[in-house]
Amino acid sequence: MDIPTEPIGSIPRPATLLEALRRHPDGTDASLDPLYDDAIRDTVRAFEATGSPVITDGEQRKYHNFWTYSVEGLANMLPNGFSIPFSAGHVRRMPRLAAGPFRYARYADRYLENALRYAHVPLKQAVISPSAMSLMYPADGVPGYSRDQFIEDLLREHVTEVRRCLEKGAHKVQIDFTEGRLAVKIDPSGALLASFIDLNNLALARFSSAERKRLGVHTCPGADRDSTHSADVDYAQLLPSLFELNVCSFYVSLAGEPDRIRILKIIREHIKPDHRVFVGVVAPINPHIESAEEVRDRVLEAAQFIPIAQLGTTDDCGFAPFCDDISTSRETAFSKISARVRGTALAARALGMR
Amino acid sequence: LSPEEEQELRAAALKNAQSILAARQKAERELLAANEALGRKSEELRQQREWFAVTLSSIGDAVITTDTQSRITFLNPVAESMTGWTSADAAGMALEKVFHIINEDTRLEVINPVTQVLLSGTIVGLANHTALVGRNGAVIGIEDSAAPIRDTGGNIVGVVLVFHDVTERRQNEQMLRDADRRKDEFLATLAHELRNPLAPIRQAAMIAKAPSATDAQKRWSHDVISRQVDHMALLLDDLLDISRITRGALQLRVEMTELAAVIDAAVETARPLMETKRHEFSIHIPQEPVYFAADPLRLAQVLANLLTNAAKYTDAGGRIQVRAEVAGGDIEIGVVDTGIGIPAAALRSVFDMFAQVKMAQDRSDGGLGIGLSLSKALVELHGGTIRASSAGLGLGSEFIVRLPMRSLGVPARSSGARIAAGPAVGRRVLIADDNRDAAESLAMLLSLEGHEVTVVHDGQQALAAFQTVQPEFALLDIGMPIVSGYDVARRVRQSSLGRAVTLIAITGWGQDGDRARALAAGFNHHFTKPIEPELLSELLRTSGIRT
Repeated sequence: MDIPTEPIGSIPRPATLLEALRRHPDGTDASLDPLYDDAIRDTVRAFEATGSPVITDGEQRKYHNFWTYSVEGLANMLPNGFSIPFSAGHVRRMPRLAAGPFRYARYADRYLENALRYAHVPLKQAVISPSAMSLMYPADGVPGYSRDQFIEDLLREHVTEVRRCLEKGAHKVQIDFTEGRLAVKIDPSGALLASFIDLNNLALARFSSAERKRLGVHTCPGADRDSTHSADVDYAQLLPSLFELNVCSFYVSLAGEPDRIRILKIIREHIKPDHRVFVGVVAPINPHIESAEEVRDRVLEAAQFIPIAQLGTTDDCGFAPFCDDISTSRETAFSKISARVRGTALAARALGMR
Repeated sequence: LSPEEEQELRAAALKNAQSILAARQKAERELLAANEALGRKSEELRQQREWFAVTLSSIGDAVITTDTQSRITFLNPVAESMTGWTSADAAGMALEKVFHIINEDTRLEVINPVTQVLLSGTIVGLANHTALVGRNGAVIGIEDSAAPIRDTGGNIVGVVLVFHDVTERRQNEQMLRDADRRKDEFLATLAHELRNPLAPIRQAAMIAKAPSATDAQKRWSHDVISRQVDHMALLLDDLLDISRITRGALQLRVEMTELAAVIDAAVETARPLMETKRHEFSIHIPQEPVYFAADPLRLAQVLANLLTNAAKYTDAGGRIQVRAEVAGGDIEIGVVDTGIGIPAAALRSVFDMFAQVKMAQDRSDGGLGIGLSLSKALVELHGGTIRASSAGLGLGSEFIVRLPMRSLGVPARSSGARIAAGPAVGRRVLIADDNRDAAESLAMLLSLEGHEVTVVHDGQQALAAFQTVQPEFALLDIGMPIVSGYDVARRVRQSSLGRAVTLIAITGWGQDGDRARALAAGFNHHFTKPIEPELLSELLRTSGIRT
């Protein structure tokens, strides 16, 4: 028996693709298709070369970011939505819904479909959470389109996207819930976080228990240009609520946390019997490339708090959630992934599992 | 973020929270409703399962279901009984272990129908002559079919096997085949028996009309013809009686009857044969007269049949005994002989229609093999029983008739009582029959007895003869040309001359309905062809009327 290890998702795009995207910023020009294809093929190849038993397409066709990929280019979206300030000092601004009805422009299964042509190992697919998307509906409402209707439409679109990915053969579908700690930051009372958990659970309730076994949730304090948006919020304010989400797999950033032991204790306190927690063992926003031994030690550390049968490893976050983020190179990303894979194997051996 | 941006974001998020709460409440309501619907469906499903289980337990056929691997999933109680396996014990077992079938004739194993269903996906009937070998080794003839069980998507999820015990039906089929065979044998016997008298009759008739025939030869010829006709009449009477009994049309004419008189009448019938074969005959009956309610003629017919059989099947010099006694409110009459006996295997069937023990056929001296069947039916019409016993071949037989000793509550009259003979004077008799031979021969017989006979051959001539002859007795054929016998009778009765005449219908139809129709037309008597000349002579001799 091995300790399962999975990536989060994004890999920095090749320079040629980024250069072309600068010329065609809407990302849909037909001339980009061969470049996307090359980027996906090369990412899958490099991913498989790391020995990672589960890979992604590196989100090479999410040409804007992990959050808004499904609505980019829609006419009923305005650019002046809410802002996310990062610790590096920059701000990422989200689109704002200007008119109903709310619909996705694209579902993530199309990315999966492309990558499946090249992959030889299981592929997982990351999708954005309903709670993240819910922030696009403005405070003053949308004329002729109620908030209630928006929530219903949002749930339906999200469920459709996840189910399409499952049907296409995704090994796992990972719901990105990076706004968890951000919600606590916006509303320290916790009410906003609670409503996010409710909303996501409303969506998850529409899946069968068998489907939910293939679903997971990823949480991190954000990662862009080697900085975060909510690392300053205490994890303890998120984790108890996180484990209320009705999924089986949790991808929890941990490598970048200053006090991992404290976090692991919280996890131990709230993990449920049918949960598996994939702890982050490499930190994408840290330029230091972890060695396999460092990873091994982090896994062994986690194994002291989480039952081996419920333990897995992952990256703390995607390596380039925002397409234009070039703070981390592809080489660094794959080196870190390689370290994760090898270090996890070393830990398994140390634990007598192989 | 600026304080304003942060405030707006917070406001938007919290407003979303309200909608999320509303959505959650809606989802919870829907879940509750879905749970309730599921509960109702579960209850419906439970009831349907219960109904299905009760139905399967109630039906008379055996039912076995299997999965797609031919493993038993269910046996209903009939299947449990026939296979010897309980549903619980058989569950999960391979079908062949529980439903072990063979060919009844070859005893070789038969291909399992469930396997065929799984291969073909269609309903499969069992081959003929399939038998089930139960857990205890008992073999039961079965019949029926297997069919695929499909889910709503049309996929085969199992097989249902329905079968039933056909042992009784196959026995009945065999009985029908046996009865049919006996009927064919009977028809062959009947043809033979009816043809047999024809040769002597034809030859005797030729002798009688030969110019060179002496008076002795003519008398001998007449005796032969008379004997053979009597024999044929007896055969036909038996046939008619059997026909009436089969159709429920035979009615007894019950009267207070004296036992000794009935036995005497029967003995009289059988005596010539017993005397011919020099049998040692004895009779043991109660000293005091025994009266009981019965049809004396039919009872005498039964006993005469038993005695005649005893005489036929007992070698010359053998012993035949009739004994009768009253016991336990019944009358028991036994006919015992020292004859050829009856094998044990044949004892059960001696009373069956057309059943003549094969070994006895060459000694039966003719006969249709319906005598004992007729006797049994007549005894049962009296509410009695008849049984046969024999120690075996060559060891003699005993037939015992047991009759309830009933009373009519009216003065007894012996069946042997005879109507007082009238003066033997000549009567004016009109015979009307389009069968000239029948009419002329009857006329000749009556003329020999001193009667004045006029013969006509249709109804119109008959009506004319009534005017000219004014007969005291008129024997009218029913099926005459021009005017039927019925119409002649009606018209005669309507005329002044016709009131005193005794009208006698002569017909081939002897059912009760025919008799009633004749009496309604004005006839006094209804005689079935062939007429017994002695009866007619007695009627003409007497002035009384006897029907």
